[in-house]
Amino acid sequence: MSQIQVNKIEFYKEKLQEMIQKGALSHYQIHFITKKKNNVYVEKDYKIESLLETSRSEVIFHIYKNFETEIGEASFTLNENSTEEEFIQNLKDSIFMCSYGRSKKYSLPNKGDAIVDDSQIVYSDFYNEEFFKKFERKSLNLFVAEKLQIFKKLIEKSKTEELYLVLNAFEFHNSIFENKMETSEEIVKSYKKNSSYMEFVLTTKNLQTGRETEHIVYENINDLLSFDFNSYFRAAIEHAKDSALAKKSGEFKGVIILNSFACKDFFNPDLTMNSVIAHCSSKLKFQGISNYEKDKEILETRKDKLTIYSNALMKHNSGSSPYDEYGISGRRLCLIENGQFKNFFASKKYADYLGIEATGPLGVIEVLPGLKSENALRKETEYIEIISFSSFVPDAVSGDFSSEIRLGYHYKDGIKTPFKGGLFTGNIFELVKDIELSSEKVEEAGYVGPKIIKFYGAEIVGL
Amino acid sequence: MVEEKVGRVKYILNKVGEIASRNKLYWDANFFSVSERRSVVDKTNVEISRDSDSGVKLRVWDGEKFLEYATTSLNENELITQMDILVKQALRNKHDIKDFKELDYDKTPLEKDFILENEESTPELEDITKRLQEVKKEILESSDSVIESRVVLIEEMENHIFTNSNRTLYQKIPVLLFANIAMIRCDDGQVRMVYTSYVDNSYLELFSKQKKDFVNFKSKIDKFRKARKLKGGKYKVVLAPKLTGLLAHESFGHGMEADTMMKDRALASNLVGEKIGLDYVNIVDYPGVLGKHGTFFFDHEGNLAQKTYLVKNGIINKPMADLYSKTRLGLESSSNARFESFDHKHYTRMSNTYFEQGDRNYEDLISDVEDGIFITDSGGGMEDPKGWGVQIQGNFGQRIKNGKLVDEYYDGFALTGFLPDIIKNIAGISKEFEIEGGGRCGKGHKEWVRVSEGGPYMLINEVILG
Repeated sequence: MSQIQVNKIEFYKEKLQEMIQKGALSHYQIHFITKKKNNVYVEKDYKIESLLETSRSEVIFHIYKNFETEIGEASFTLNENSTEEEFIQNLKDSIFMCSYGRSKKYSLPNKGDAIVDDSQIVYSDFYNEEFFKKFERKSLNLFVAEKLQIFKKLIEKSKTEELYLVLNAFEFHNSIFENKMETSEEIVKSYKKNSSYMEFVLTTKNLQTGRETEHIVYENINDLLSFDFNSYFRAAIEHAKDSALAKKSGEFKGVIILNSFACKDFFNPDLTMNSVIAHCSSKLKFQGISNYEKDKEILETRKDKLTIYSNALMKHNSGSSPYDEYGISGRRLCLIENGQFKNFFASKKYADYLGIEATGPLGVIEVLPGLKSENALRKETEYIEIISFSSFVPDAVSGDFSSEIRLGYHYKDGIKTPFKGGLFTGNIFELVKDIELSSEKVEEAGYVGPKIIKFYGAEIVGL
Repeated sequence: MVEEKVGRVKYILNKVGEIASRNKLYWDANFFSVSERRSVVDKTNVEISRDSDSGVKLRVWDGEKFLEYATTSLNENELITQMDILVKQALRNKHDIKDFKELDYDKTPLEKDFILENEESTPELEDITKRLQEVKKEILESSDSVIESRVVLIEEMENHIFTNSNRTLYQKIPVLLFANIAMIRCDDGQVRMVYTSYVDNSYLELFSKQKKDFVNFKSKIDKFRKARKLKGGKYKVVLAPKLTGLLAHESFGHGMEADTMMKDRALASNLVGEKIGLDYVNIVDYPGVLGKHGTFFFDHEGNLAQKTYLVKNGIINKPMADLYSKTRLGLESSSNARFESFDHKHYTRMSNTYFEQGDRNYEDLISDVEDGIFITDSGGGMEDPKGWGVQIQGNFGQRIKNGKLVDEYYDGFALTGFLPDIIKNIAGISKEFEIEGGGRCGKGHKEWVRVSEGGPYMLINEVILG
């Protein structure tokens, strides 16, 4: 908020209050947002291509106007360059838009409402003070350079007479984010958050066959300062080397295991939602798309029964947030317990439509582990293990998916053979009828849950 | 953006660049602003939101790399201070750089404004919401299987100013996108989404396209209702324009991006000049096709829109490039340097990428198939320029038997295969050609820019579906 002048903010609030008094609008929310990034882009031969520093400062306004059975809504965004005249014009336009952008009536939360209470929330859980102190171009660049040196040494060490390994691309993004919100109902909240993202590409050349294979890694990092880069780089190098030896996938039907990276993609895909979780949405229920009923089994399962939480308060996890756009506090919400549906995640709007309590923001997907160990789950004479997908994008509504395998292993009679390609295909609702979850857990950005998951009767269409 | 503001921003950016010019450093500055009004109508609600995003990005070349600063601020003094920091840093770095490289940019001076505007007036919001409500009602009434309908109109306006020591360019691009969406309960009990989108820069054209095509959308709902799972395997296919667009995009689109080639991440870089398909296979990237989702007049490095043949007469031809990779690889320029927003990095990116038309009729392509699938819709794809694998997922298709489309439909399958095999197996390209609808393309899983989908129909003798 530092860059939006204080007198401007007071002016905005004054005008909005004036409009409420005149009856031109009923409520408002203002979100002041600042975001700073420090990114490093490296190409092959560890050559730096670009150093990017950014600073973003903006204000998002949501306004509401009550009608008899409906509520009008509109929103607009201004930044630090916006003039008072632009604000007035945007406000006028938005009030006009409220006459047309109408929803079935719902209520907005008040300062004293229990769902807004945040007395139990530890706001310092959402950021790392040390990271904020370190957030300066020079020291971050130095940090990245150190990590790159470690990576370089590990890569050099891993080269053999058969395999030649190079780092072709490396991106490191660090950001800090601050949000302050105020509403006409006197809800005033603010929080800070930090996040980091790393992406790199390792290419392996099989010196005997001349074949080159690349291994791509994307990782959202919860806490940069405690992240174990060494182990992470080592694992990536091993996977890259296996990619070089990988065969093309064949047809397969039987036991398929997803390991930690693929588990995260399965339960919390980047670009969409796992359909088992998407159907816990109050919006899908209201629209008649979700058939979930409280305390009823979501599916007839034959193996482990799923227990899934949305945890918006998970400490130092970038998937967490302390409140949603209305100011409703985050919580650890049980969505599914032992295979039975428990609660819809709900914004204020859809909560009111369904007559349930609003639940705040959707958080980290937390899947409770199973009883069997990873070793016990792997006791099979033949199975496939999937390490990573090219892109796992299931249909959130139907659950259908078909996703290319970037790296997997075929285990048969004690022999482990890496493979690439082929499509892991099926329907999520069908698959989870026969799911087993490991007792070991992993924590990733946006996902905490079993380290491996096992499916029976799953299918791969080969190349 | 009013003329006065355009003039003011041009002045500020040029003023800011003076420090770098005085120190004989390459610099450029982009002011990038996108405002969007989104109207969404469903069974219960009409939601209208307005969003805007604008800011400035400054870059200075130190002989080896770009030093960049981006901000939402348009304050002249602040920008000058930031440029001064970049310049001082670049001058310090310059002393330590052993392999200093001059950037190979177009030095032809140019000052020009490109404004894509229609004579027609913008419809009143009342008329827009009324129209969306009507379409929503039509969708809900079109079939008993429809459980929810959503109609979306996105009105986007992009204002962009590029300056460097030689150029000052301004472009104003309106983009309108209309989408019909139906959530339907299918015969197999599953809920599926049926989606069609239309893109134009004219409201009249856009509304007329949507209206004319509504009968097809209704029939699509009926087809999706009957859809079942496809058995995985090798199939002969005919691809509809949306799918050929995606194939062009995921294959020789991403595979011919020079920044990917520069990092030794694209197999195509060793094969420029090699024949990979029949003579009639031409793949093009051209931002200058007006009124499409990937349209622009100049890119984010001030290169005017030009047609780039990625594959010409079946031969791998010329990569798309941004300034950094062009300089490193010694390539010709193209108009493909783009960023997602002002606070993102420039990359080599596509715009409108498509196969050029062929000489067959669409009906002839269908009649050539004894047993196969006509693929009409898709959820998107993923590139693999190094392995030359193609993945296009979330597809919908109709069975072809004995040269005729029959009443059998399949949903949720992916198309995959080894790209050279797919290209070799192209057996016919139609005269019919259409670029419709729009999407966003990512570099991996991020950096989303608007691109178009489309091209001709295409017959391929063998691909893997599953």
